Amino acid sequence: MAPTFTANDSLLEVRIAQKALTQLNLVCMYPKVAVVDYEPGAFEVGNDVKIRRPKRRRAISLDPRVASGTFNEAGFFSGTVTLENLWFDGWLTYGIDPRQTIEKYIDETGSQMADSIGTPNDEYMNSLFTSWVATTGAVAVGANPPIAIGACVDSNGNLTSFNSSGLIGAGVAMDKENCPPDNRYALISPVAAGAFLQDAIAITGFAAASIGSGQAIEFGLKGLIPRFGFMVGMSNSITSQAAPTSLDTVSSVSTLAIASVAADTNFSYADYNSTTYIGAVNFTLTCPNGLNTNVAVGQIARIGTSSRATAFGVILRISTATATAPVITLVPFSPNGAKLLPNQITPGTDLFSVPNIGSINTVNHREGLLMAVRQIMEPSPGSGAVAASIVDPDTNLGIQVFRGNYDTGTVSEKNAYYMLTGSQISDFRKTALVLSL
Amino acid sequence: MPILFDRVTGQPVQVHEMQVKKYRTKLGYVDYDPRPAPVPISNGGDAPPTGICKINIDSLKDLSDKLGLSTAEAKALKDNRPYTRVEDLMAKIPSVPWANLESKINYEAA
Repeated sequence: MAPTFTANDSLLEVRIAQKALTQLNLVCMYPKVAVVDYEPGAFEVGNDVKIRRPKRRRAISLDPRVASGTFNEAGFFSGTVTLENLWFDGWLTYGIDPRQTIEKYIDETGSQMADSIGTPNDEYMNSLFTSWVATTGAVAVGANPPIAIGACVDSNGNLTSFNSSGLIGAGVAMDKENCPPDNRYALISPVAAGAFLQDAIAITGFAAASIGSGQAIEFGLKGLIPRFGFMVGMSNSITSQAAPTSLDTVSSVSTLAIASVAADTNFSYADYNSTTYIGAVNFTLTCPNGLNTNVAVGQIARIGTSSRATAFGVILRISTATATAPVITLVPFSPNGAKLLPNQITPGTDLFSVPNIGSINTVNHREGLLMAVRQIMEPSPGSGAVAASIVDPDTNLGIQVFRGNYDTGTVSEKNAYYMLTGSQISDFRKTALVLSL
Repeated sequence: MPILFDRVTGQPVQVHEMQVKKYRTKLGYVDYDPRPAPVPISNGGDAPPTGICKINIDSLKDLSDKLGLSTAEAKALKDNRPYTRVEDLMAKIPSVPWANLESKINYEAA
Protein backbone atom coordinates (compact mmCIF):
# COMPACT_ATOMS: atom_id res chain seq x y z
CA MET A 1 0.00 0.00 0.00
CA ALA A 2 1.44 3.37 -0.97
CA PRO A 3 1.78 6.14 1.60
CA THR A 4 -1.22 8.43 1.68
CA PHE A 5 -0.59 11.79 0.07
CA THR A 6 -2.07 14.96 1.41
CA ALA A 7 -2.25 18.59 0.36
CA ASN A 8 1.01 19.28 2.15
CA ASP A 9 2.97 16.73 0.13
CA SER A 10 4.41 19.38 -2.11
CA LEU A 11 6.23 21.01 0.79
CA LEU A 12 9.98 20.60 0.66
CA GLU A 13 10.38 18.85 4.00
CA VAL A 14 7.62 16.41 3.15
CA ARG A 15 9.26 15.55 -0.14
CA ILE A 16 12.60 15.06 1.60
CA ALA A 17 10.99 12.83 4.22
CA GLN A 18 9.23 10.79 1.55
CA LYS A 19 12.45 10.33 -0.37
CA ALA A 20 14.28 9.38 2.82
CA LEU A 21 11.63 6.88 3.79
CA THR A 22 11.67 5.27 0.38
CA GLN A 23 15.41 4.96 0.58
CA LEU A 24 15.23 3.74 4.16
CA ASN A 25 13.00 0.89 3.08
CA LEU A 26 15.66 -0.13 0.60
CA VAL A 27 18.75 0.11 2.79
CA CYS A 28 17.47 -1.27 6.11
CA MET A 29 17.76 -5.03 6.18
CA TYR A 30 16.84 -5.94 9.75
CA PRO A 31 13.47 -4.15 9.73
CA LYS A 32 12.64 -6.32 6.72
CA VAL A 33 12.96 -9.44 8.83
CA ALA A 34 11.25 -8.18 11.99
CA VAL A 35 7.72 -7.85 13.24
CA VAL A 36 6.79 -4.19 13.47
CA ASP A 37 3.94 -2.22 15.01
CA TYR A 38 2.38 -4.56 17.52
CA GLU A 39 1.07 -2.10 20.08
CA PRO A 40 -0.59 1.18 19.13
CA GLY A 41 -0.27 4.30 21.20
CA ALA A 42 1.84 7.36 21.87
CA PHE A 43 5.38 6.92 23.09
CA GLU A 44 8.49 8.88 23.99
CA VAL A 45 12.14 8.00 24.39
CA GLY A 46 12.69 5.28 26.96
CA ASN A 47 9.08 4.08 26.98
CA ASP A 48 8.43 0.36 26.93
CA VAL A 49 6.23 -1.34 24.39
CA LYS A 50 4.80 -4.53 25.83
CA ILE A 51 5.10 -8.02 24.43
CA ARG A 52 2.78 -10.71 25.73
CA ARG A 53 2.23 -14.15 24.32
CA PRO A 54 0.82 -17.40 25.69
CA LYS A 55 3.28 -19.97 26.94
CA ARG A 56 3.52 -23.15 24.96
CA ARG A 57 1.19 -25.95 25.96
CA ARG A 58 1.15 -29.54 24.88
CA ALA A 59 -1.81 -31.90 24.77
CA ILE A 60 -1.59 -35.36 26.29
CA SER A 61 -3.06 -38.62 25.10
CA LEU A 62 -6.00 -38.98 27.47
CA ASP A 63 -7.44 -42.30 28.57
CA PRO A 64 -10.63 -41.34 30.44
CA ARG A 65 -11.06 -44.87 31.82
CA VAL A 66 -7.79 -44.56 33.70
CA ALA A 67 -7.55 -40.92 34.76
CA SER A 68 -9.09 -37.59 34.01
CA GLY A 69 -7.22 -34.77 32.36
CA THR A 70 -5.40 -32.06 34.32
CA PHE A 71 -6.50 -28.46 33.99
CA ASN A 72 -3.92 -25.71 34.35
CA GLU A 73 -4.37 -22.00 34.03
CA ALA A 74 -2.89 -20.50 30.89
CA GLY A 75 0.57 -19.04 31.40
CA PHE A 76 1.91 -16.01 29.63
CA PHE A 77 5.35 -14.85 28.74
CA SER A 78 5.75 -11.09 29.09
CA GLY A 79 8.43 -8.79 27.84
CA THR A 80 9.02 -5.28 26.65
CA VAL A 81 10.63 -3.39 23.82
CA THR A 82 12.22 -0.19 25.00
CA LEU A 83 12.22 2.74 22.61
CA GLU A 84 15.85 3.36 23.42
CA ASN A 85 17.07 5.01 20.25
CA LEU A 86 16.07 8.40 18.96
CA TRP A 87 18.18 8.45 15.84
CA PHE A 88 19.02 12.01 14.96
CA ASP A 89 21.12 13.87 12.45
CA GLY A 90 21.03 17.49 11.52
CA TRP A 91 22.59 19.78 9.02
CA LEU A 92 22.66 23.44 8.13
CA THR A 93 21.53 24.76 4.81
CA TYR A 94 22.66 28.16 3.61
CA GLY A 95 20.72 30.55 1.48
CA ILE A 96 23.81 31.10 -0.61
CA ASP A 97 24.13 27.40 -1.50
CA PRO A 98 23.47 26.75 -5.17
CA ARG A 99 20.77 24.13 -4.96
CA GLN A 100 20.80 23.49 -8.70
CA THR A 101 17.40 21.91 -8.99
CA ILE A 102 15.02 21.23 -6.14
CA GLU A 103 14.57 17.67 -7.39
CA LYS A 104 18.27 16.96 -7.07
CA TYR A 105 18.37 18.52 -3.64
CA ILE A 106 15.52 16.34 -2.44
CA ASP A 107 17.05 13.25 -3.99
CA GLU A 108 20.50 13.74 -2.47
CA THR A 109 19.31 14.90 0.92
CA GLY A 110 16.79 12.12 1.27
CA SER A 111 19.40 9.48 0.44
CA GLN A 112 21.85 10.91 2.97
CA MET A 113 19.21 10.84 5.66
CA ALA A 114 18.24 7.27 4.93
CA ASP A 115 21.84 6.09 5.05
CA SER A 116 22.48 8.11 8.19
CA ILE A 117 19.62 6.42 10.03
CA GLY A 118 19.58 3.03 8.35
CA THR A 119 23.17 2.07 9.08
CA PRO A 120 23.21 2.58 12.85
CA ASN A 121 19.75 1.10 13.18
CA ASP A 122 20.81 -2.09 11.40
CA GLU A 123 23.93 -2.28 13.56
CA TYR A 124 21.79 -1.81 16.65
CA MET A 125 19.36 -4.54 15.64
CA ASN A 126 22.24 -6.87 14.82
CA SER A 127 23.76 -6.19 18.24
CA LEU A 128 20.70 -7.73 19.87
CA PHE A 129 21.82 -11.13 18.62
CA THR A 130 24.90 -11.06 20.85
CA SER A 131 23.72 -9.02 23.84
CA TRP A 132 24.02 -11.45 26.73
CA VAL A 133 24.34 -10.20 30.28
CA ALA A 134 26.10 -11.76 33.25
CA THR A 135 23.86 -13.89 35.44
CA THR A 136 23.97 -15.97 38.57
CA GLY A 137 21.60 -18.60 39.90
CA ALA A 138 18.53 -19.77 38.01
CA VAL A 139 17.74 -18.05 34.72
CA ALA A 140 14.57 -18.37 32.64
CA VAL A 141 15.63 -17.90 29.03
CA GLY A 142 13.00 -16.30 26.81
CA ALA A 143 13.49 -12.90 25.20
CA ASN A 144 17.20 -13.53 24.87
CA PRO A 145 19.75 -13.69 22.07
CA PRO A 146 20.17 -16.94 20.18
CA ILE A 147 22.04 -19.93 21.52
CA ALA A 148 21.52 -22.19 18.50
CA ILE A 149 24.42 -22.37 16.10
CA GLY A 150 25.03 -23.83 12.69
CA ALA A 151 28.55 -23.65 11.36
CA CYS A 152 30.23 -23.97 7.99
CA VAL A 153 33.23 -26.17 8.66
CA ASP A 154 35.55 -28.36 6.62
CA SER A 155 36.57 -31.93 7.41
CA ASN A 156 39.19 -30.64 9.87
CA GLY A 157 36.71 -28.57 11.80
CA ASN A 158 37.94 -25.25 10.46
CA LEU A 159 35.44 -22.57 9.49
CA THR A 160 34.90 -22.25 5.75
CA SER A 161 33.16 -19.83 3.46
CA PHE A 162 29.41 -19.65 3.90
CA ASN A 163 27.64 -22.63 2.42
CA SER A 164 24.35 -24.45 2.62
CA SER A 165 25.42 -26.74 5.49
CA GLY A 166 25.60 -23.88 7.98
CA LEU A 167 22.19 -22.61 6.95
CA ILE A 168 20.72 -26.09 7.12
CA GLY A 169 22.29 -26.53 10.56
CA ALA A 170 20.56 -23.40 11.82
CA GLY A 171 17.33 -24.66 10.29
CA VAL A 172 17.70 -27.99 12.08
CA ALA A 173 18.23 -26.24 15.41
CA MET A 174 15.12 -24.12 14.85
CA ASP A 175 13.12 -27.18 13.80
CA LYS A 176 14.00 -28.88 17.07
CA GLU A 177 12.49 -25.92 18.90
CA ASN A 178 9.28 -26.18 16.86
CA CYS A 179 9.95 -22.84 15.19
CA PRO A 180 7.43 -22.37 12.36
CA PRO A 181 8.95 -23.23 8.98
CA ASP A 182 7.65 -20.15 7.20
CA ASN A 183 8.96 -16.59 7.47
CA ARG A 184 12.51 -17.61 8.27
CA TYR A 185 15.20 -15.13 7.32
CA ALA A 186 18.97 -15.18 7.21
CA LEU A 187 21.06 -12.03 7.02
CA ILE A 188 24.62 -12.79 6.07
CA SER A 189 27.75 -10.74 5.55
CA PRO A 190 28.73 -9.51 2.09
CA VAL A 191 31.64 -11.95 2.08
CA ALA A 192 29.34 -14.80 3.01
CA ALA A 193 26.76 -13.72 0.47
CA GLY A 194 29.33 -13.58 -2.28
CA ALA A 195 30.57 -17.07 -1.51
CA PHE A 196 27.14 -18.57 -0.99
CA LEU A 197 25.18 -17.10 -3.86
CA GLN A 198 28.04 -17.59 -6.27
CA ASP A 199 27.64 -21.29 -5.59
CA ALA A 200 23.89 -21.20 -5.79
CA ILE A 201 23.38 -19.27 -9.00
CA ALA A 202 23.90 -21.59 -11.93
CA ILE A 203 25.30 -19.77 -14.94
CA THR A 204 26.54 -21.92 -17.76
CA GLY A 205 27.53 -21.70 -21.40
CA PHE A 206 26.96 -18.53 -23.33
CA ALA A 207 25.25 -16.77 -20.45
CA ALA A 208 28.24 -17.22 -18.17
CA ALA A 209 30.56 -15.75 -20.75
CA SER A 210 28.41 -12.80 -21.62
CA ILE A 211 26.96 -11.91 -18.24
CA GLY A 212 29.77 -12.84 -15.92
CA SER A 213 29.31 -14.25 -12.45
CA GLY A 214 30.11 -10.92 -10.83
CA GLN A 215 27.17 -9.26 -12.44
CA ALA A 216 24.96 -12.20 -11.59
CA ILE A 217 25.93 -11.89 -7.97
CA GLU A 218 25.25 -8.20 -8.05
CA PHE A 219 21.75 -8.76 -9.32
CA GLY A 220 21.24 -11.76 -7.09
CA LEU A 221 22.10 -9.90 -3.92
CA LYS A 222 19.33 -7.37 -4.27
CA GLY A 223 16.52 -8.12 -1.88
CA LEU A 224 15.91 -11.44 -0.20
CA ILE A 225 16.51 -14.68 -2.02
CA PRO A 226 14.96 -18.03 -1.02
CA ARG A 227 17.55 -20.67 -0.13
CA PHE A 228 17.15 -23.84 1.95
CA GLY A 229 14.08 -22.68 3.82
CA PHE A 230 15.33 -19.16 4.45
CA MET A 231 14.97 -15.83 2.74
CA VAL A 232 18.61 -14.85 2.52
CA GLY A 233 19.72 -11.25 2.46
CA MET A 234 22.97 -9.38 2.88
CA SER A 235 23.85 -6.91 5.58
CA ASN A 236 26.92 -4.82 6.28
CA SER A 237 26.09 -4.99 9.98
CA ILE A 238 27.12 -8.62 10.44
CA THR A 239 29.84 -8.85 13.07
CA SER A 240 32.91 -11.00 13.50
CA GLN A 241 34.81 -12.34 16.50
CA ALA A 242 38.50 -11.95 17.23
CA ALA A 243 40.12 -14.64 19.32
CA PRO A 244 41.49 -13.41 22.67
CA THR A 245 45.26 -13.11 22.76
CA SER A 246 45.37 -15.69 25.52
CA LEU A 247 42.91 -17.72 27.55
CA ASP A 248 45.38 -17.81 30.43
CA THR A 249 46.54 -14.93 32.62
CA VAL A 250 50.25 -15.75 32.44
CA SER A 251 51.24 -17.79 29.45
CA SER A 252 49.90 -17.39 25.94
CA VAL A 253 47.55 -20.28 25.28
CA SER A 254 44.80 -20.59 22.70
CA THR A 255 43.18 -23.76 24.01
CA LEU A 256 42.37 -25.06 27.46
CA ALA A 257 41.86 -28.67 28.48
CA ILE A 258 38.42 -29.72 29.63
CA ALA A 259 38.65 -31.49 32.97
CA SER A 260 35.01 -32.50 33.22
CA VAL A 261 31.53 -31.75 31.90
CA ALA A 262 28.18 -31.80 33.65
CA ALA A 263 24.60 -30.92 32.76
CA ASP A 264 23.59 -27.45 33.94
CA THR A 265 20.44 -26.98 36.00
CA ASN A 266 20.33 -23.20 36.10
CA PHE A 267 19.26 -22.22 32.60
CA SER A 268 15.69 -23.22 31.74
CA TYR A 269 13.05 -22.26 29.19
CA ALA A 270 10.92 -19.31 30.22
CA ASP A 271 8.24 -20.60 27.90
CA TYR A 272 7.27 -23.81 29.62
CA ASN A 273 4.99 -24.15 32.60
CA SER A 274 7.17 -26.86 34.09
CA THR A 275 10.92 -26.52 34.51
CA THR A 276 12.62 -27.61 31.31
CA TYR A 277 16.32 -27.04 30.96
CA ILE A 278 17.68 -25.57 27.76
CA GLY A 279 20.49 -28.12 27.64
CA ALA A 280 23.38 -26.03 28.91
CA VAL A 281 26.55 -27.84 29.91
CA ASN A 282 29.06 -26.78 32.54
CA PHE A 283 32.63 -27.19 31.30
CA THR A 284 35.23 -27.30 34.05
CA LEU A 285 38.50 -26.22 32.49
CA THR A 286 42.08 -26.77 33.52
CA CYS A 287 43.69 -23.35 33.79
CA PRO A 288 46.76 -23.37 36.10
CA ASN A 289 47.22 -19.60 36.09
CA GLY A 290 43.57 -18.57 36.12
CA LEU A 291 41.23 -17.63 33.28
CA ASN A 292 42.00 -14.41 31.45
CA THR A 293 39.27 -11.80 31.72
CA ASN A 294 39.25 -11.46 27.95
CA VAL A 295 37.20 -14.65 27.90
CA ALA A 296 33.73 -13.22 28.27
CA VAL A 297 30.04 -14.00 28.38
CA GLY A 298 28.55 -13.66 24.90
CA GLN A 299 31.59 -14.95 23.06
CA ILE A 300 31.30 -18.01 20.90
CA ALA A 301 33.46 -20.90 22.06
CA ARG A 302 34.67 -23.88 20.09
CA ILE A 303 34.82 -27.36 21.59
CA GLY A 304 36.92 -29.85 19.69
CA THR A 305 40.37 -30.83 18.55
CA SER A 306 42.68 -29.50 15.88
CA SER A 307 41.11 -31.94 13.43
CA ARG A 308 37.45 -31.87 14.47
CA ALA A 309 34.92 -29.27 15.62
CA THR A 310 32.72 -31.12 18.07
CA ALA A 311 30.60 -28.13 18.97
CA PHE A 312 30.21 -24.39 19.13
CA GLY A 313 28.35 -22.54 21.83
CA VAL A 314 27.63 -19.08 23.17
CA ILE A 315 29.22 -18.57 26.60
CA LEU A 316 26.36 -17.94 29.02
CA ARG A 317 28.21 -17.85 32.32
CA ILE A 318 31.75 -17.87 33.68
CA SER A 319 32.44 -18.99 37.23
CA THR A 320 35.94 -18.47 38.58
CA ALA A 321 35.21 -19.48 42.16
CA THR A 322 38.11 -21.90 41.79
CA ALA A 323 40.63 -19.84 39.86
CA THR A 324 42.55 -22.77 38.43
CA ALA A 325 39.37 -24.64 37.46
CA PRO A 326 36.98 -22.10 35.94
CA VAL A 327 33.55 -23.31 34.90
CA ILE A 328 32.15 -22.14 31.55
CA THR A 329 28.47 -22.66 30.84
CA LEU A 330 27.26 -22.94 27.27
CA VAL A 331 24.84 -24.94 25.14
CA PRO A 332 26.97 -26.99 22.74
CA PHE A 333 25.71 -27.28 19.18
CA SER A 334 27.46 -29.44 16.63
CA PRO A 335 28.10 -27.68 13.30
CA ASN A 336 25.05 -29.41 11.82
CA GLY A 337 22.76 -27.79 14.39
CA ALA A 338 22.29 -30.73 16.76
CA LYS A 339 22.29 -29.89 20.46
CA LEU A 340 24.85 -32.08 22.20
CA LEU A 341 24.54 -33.80 25.56
CA PRO A 342 27.37 -33.79 28.12
CA ASN A 343 28.27 -37.39 27.29
CA GLN A 344 28.91 -36.38 23.68
CA ILE A 345 31.82 -34.20 24.82
CA THR A 346 35.10 -35.99 25.58
CA PRO A 347 37.09 -34.35 28.39
CA GLY A 348 40.78 -34.88 27.90
CA THR A 349 40.38 -35.01 24.13
CA ASP A 350 38.11 -32.10 23.27
CA LEU A 351 39.63 -28.72 24.01
CA PHE A 352 38.05 -25.35 24.78
CA SER A 353 38.90 -22.31 22.70
CA VAL A 354 37.46 -18.96 21.60
CA PRO A 355 38.12 -18.89 17.86
CA ASN A 356 38.39 -16.23 15.20
CA ILE A 357 35.08 -16.08 13.34
CA GLY A 358 34.86 -14.08 10.14
CA SER A 359 31.10 -13.75 9.96
CA ILE A 360 28.54 -14.30 12.71
CA ASN A 361 25.54 -14.41 10.41
CA THR A 362 22.09 -14.16 11.95
CA VAL A 363 18.97 -16.20 11.36
CA ASN A 364 15.54 -15.51 12.70
CA HIS A 365 11.88 -16.22 12.29
CA ARG A 366 10.08 -12.95 11.74
CA GLU A 367 8.29 -13.28 15.07
CA GLY A 368 11.62 -13.68 16.83
CA LEU A 369 12.67 -10.09 16.22
CA LEU A 370 10.45 -7.19 17.17
CA MET A 371 10.84 -3.59 16.16
CA ALA A 372 8.85 -0.61 17.31
CA VAL A 373 8.93 2.77 15.59
CA ARG A 374 7.08 5.69 17.06
CA GLN A 375 6.91 9.41 16.37
CA ILE A 376 7.96 12.24 18.63
CA MET A 377 5.84 15.35 19.02
CA GLU A 378 6.12 17.81 16.16
CA PRO A 379 7.01 21.48 16.78
CA SER A 380 3.94 23.41 17.80
CA PRO A 381 2.40 26.08 15.55
CA GLY A 382 4.11 29.40 16.06
CA SER A 383 7.43 27.83 17.10
CA GLY A 384 9.00 28.92 13.85
CA ALA A 385 9.67 25.38 12.65
CA VAL A 386 7.93 23.29 10.05
CA ALA A 387 7.73 19.53 10.23
CA ALA A 388 6.94 16.47 8.19
CA SER A 389 6.27 13.09 9.77
CA ILE A 390 5.52 10.12 7.56
CA VAL A 391 5.20 6.41 8.15
CA ASP A 392 5.34 3.59 5.66
CA PRO A 393 2.13 1.62 6.14
CA ASP A 394 3.77 -1.66 5.10
CA THR A 395 6.98 -1.69 7.13
CA ASN A 396 5.89 0.88 9.73
CA LEU A 397 9.22 2.61 9.36
CA GLY A 398 8.79 6.28 10.03
CA ILE A 399 10.86 9.39 9.64
CA GLN A 400 10.36 12.95 10.81
CA VAL A 401 11.94 16.07 9.32
CA PHE A 402 11.92 19.34 11.26
CA ARG A 403 13.22 22.57 9.72
CA GLY A 404 13.51 26.05 11.16
CA ASN A 405 15.49 28.52 13.31
CA TYR A 406 16.58 30.73 10.43
CA ASP A 407 19.75 32.73 11.22
CA THR A 408 19.73 36.01 9.31
CA GLY A 409 23.41 36.60 10.15
CA THR A 410 24.58 33.53 8.30
CA VAL A 411 21.54 33.12 6.06
CA SER A 412 21.23 29.55 7.27
CA GLU A 413 18.65 27.31 8.85
CA LYS A 414 18.71 24.02 10.72
CA ASN A 415 17.37 20.80 9.30
CA ALA A 416 16.91 17.84 11.61
CA TYR A 417 15.51 14.37 11.11
CA TYR A 418 14.55 11.75 13.64
CA MET A 419 13.45 8.16 14.03
CA LEU A 420 12.40 6.92 17.49
CA THR A 421 12.81 3.19 17.63
CA GLY A 422 13.60 0.16 19.73
CA SER A 423 14.04 -3.52 19.05
CA GLN A 424 13.99 -6.74 21.00
CA ILE A 425 14.44 -10.42 20.38
CA SER A 426 11.17 -11.94 21.52
CA ASP A 427 12.12 -15.61 21.63
CA PHE A 428 15.58 -17.13 21.47
CA ARG A 429 14.11 -20.32 20.00
CA LYS A 430 13.21 -18.44 16.85
CA THR A 431 16.73 -17.22 16.27
CA ALA A 432 20.12 -18.74 15.49
CA LEU A 433 23.63 -17.92 14.37
CA VAL A 434 25.53 -19.27 11.40
CA LEU A 435 29.30 -19.15 11.63
CA SER A 436 31.48 -18.84 8.55
CA LEU A 437 34.54 -17.11 7.19
CA MET B 1 34.07 -5.80 20.63
CA PRO B 2 34.83 -4.31 24.06
CA ILE B 3 34.58 -6.30 27.26
CA LEU B 4 32.78 -4.85 30.27
CA PHE B 5 32.39 -6.30 33.74
CA ASP B 6 29.32 -6.98 35.83
CA ARG B 7 29.60 -4.63 38.79
CA VAL B 8 28.53 -7.27 41.31
CA THR B 9 29.87 -10.58 40.09
CA GLY B 10 32.77 -9.27 38.02
CA GLN B 11 31.89 -11.59 35.15
CA PRO B 12 33.35 -10.24 31.90
CA VAL B 13 30.81 -9.73 29.12
CA GLN B 14 31.58 -9.04 25.48
CA VAL B 15 29.49 -6.09 24.40
CA HIS B 16 28.64 -4.92 20.89
CA GLU B 17 29.71 -1.32 20.27
CA MET B 18 26.08 -0.30 19.83
CA GLN B 19 25.24 -1.61 23.31
CA VAL B 20 28.16 -0.20 25.29
CA LYS B 21 26.31 2.91 26.46
CA LYS B 22 23.32 0.85 27.56
CA TYR B 23 25.47 -1.62 29.48
CA ARG B 24 27.31 1.18 31.27
CA THR B 25 24.37 3.36 32.14
CA LYS B 26 21.26 1.22 32.32
CA LEU B 27 22.80 -2.09 33.35
CA GLY B 28 25.59 -0.65 35.47
CA TYR B 29 28.54 -2.45 33.92
CA VAL B 30 32.04 -1.12 34.55
CA ASP B 31 35.25 -1.03 32.51
CA TYR B 32 37.40 -2.83 35.07
CA ASP B 33 37.19 -6.10 36.96
CA PRO B 34 35.68 -5.09 40.33
CA ARG B 35 36.78 -8.29 42.02
CA PRO B 36 39.75 -8.03 44.41
CA ALA B 37 43.06 -9.13 42.98
CA PRO B 38 43.69 -12.83 43.56
CA VAL B 39 45.73 -13.67 46.66
CA PRO B 40 49.02 -15.41 45.82
CA ILE B 41 49.03 -19.08 46.61
CA SER B 42 50.50 -19.69 50.09
CA ASN B 43 53.77 -21.63 50.32
CA GLY B 44 52.78 -24.09 53.01
CA GLY B 45 50.89 -21.86 55.39
CA ASP B 46 53.69 -19.50 56.39
CA ALA B 47 52.60 -16.37 58.18
CA PRO B 48 52.69 -13.24 56.06
CA PRO B 49 55.91 -11.27 56.31
CA THR B 50 55.98 -8.91 59.30
CA GLY B 51 59.02 -6.90 58.36
CA ILE B 52 62.77 -7.28 58.23
CA CYS B 53 64.38 -8.58 61.41
CA LYS B 54 67.55 -6.82 62.63
CA ILE B 55 69.09 -9.95 64.03
CA ASN B 56 71.76 -8.16 66.15
CA ILE B 57 69.46 -5.40 67.47
CA ASP B 58 65.81 -6.51 67.80
CA SER B 59 64.23 -7.35 71.13
CA LEU B 60 63.33 -10.84 72.17
CA LYS B 61 59.70 -10.21 71.22
CA ASP B 62 60.60 -8.86 67.76
CA LEU B 63 62.90 -11.80 67.08
CA SER B 64 60.09 -14.14 67.96
CA ASP B 65 57.37 -12.28 66.03
CA LYS B 66 59.30 -11.42 62.86
CA LEU B 67 60.94 -14.80 62.39
CA GLY B 68 58.21 -16.98 63.87
CA LEU B 69 60.56 -18.46 66.48
CA SER B 70 59.71 -20.00 69.83
CA THR B 71 60.69 -18.13 72.96
CA ALA B 72 63.55 -20.55 73.63
CA GLU B 73 64.88 -20.16 70.07
CA ALA B 74 64.62 -16.38 70.26
CA LYS B 75 66.48 -16.35 73.59
CA ALA B 76 69.24 -18.58 72.18
CA LEU B 77 69.44 -16.29 69.19
CA LYS B 78 69.84 -13.22 71.40
CA ASP B 79 72.40 -14.90 73.66
CA ASN B 80 74.64 -15.94 70.75
CA ARG B 81 74.98 -12.53 69.08
CA PRO B 82 76.62 -11.15 67.01
CA TYR B 83 75.95 -12.60 63.56
CA THR B 84 77.38 -11.41 60.26
CA ARG B 85 76.02 -13.97 57.82
CA VAL B 86 73.52 -16.82 57.62
CA GLU B 87 76.23 -19.42 58.13
CA ASP B 88 76.77 -18.01 61.66
CA LEU B 89 73.11 -18.63 62.44
CA MET B 90 73.20 -22.15 61.04
CA ALA B 91 76.24 -22.99 63.11
CA LYS B 92 75.04 -21.53 66.39
CA ILE B 93 71.34 -22.47 66.28
CA PRO B 94 70.97 -25.41 63.88
CA SER B 95 67.38 -26.25 64.89
CA VAL B 96 65.93 -23.28 62.93
CA PRO B 97 65.50 -23.49 59.08
CA TRP B 98 67.57 -20.37 58.40
CA ALA B 99 67.62 -20.86 54.64
CA ASN B 100 63.88 -20.13 54.55
CA LEU B 101 64.25 -17.05 56.75
CA GLU B 102 67.29 -15.53 55.06
CA SER B 103 65.31 -12.97 53.09
CA LYS B 104 63.87 -11.52 56.31
CA ILE B 105 67.18 -10.93 58.10
CA ASN B 106 69.35 -7.83 58.36
CA TYR B 107 72.84 -8.16 59.91
CA GLU B 108 73.27 -4.54 61.01
CA ALA B 109 75.55 -4.36 64.07
CA ALA B 110 74.28 -3.14 67.40
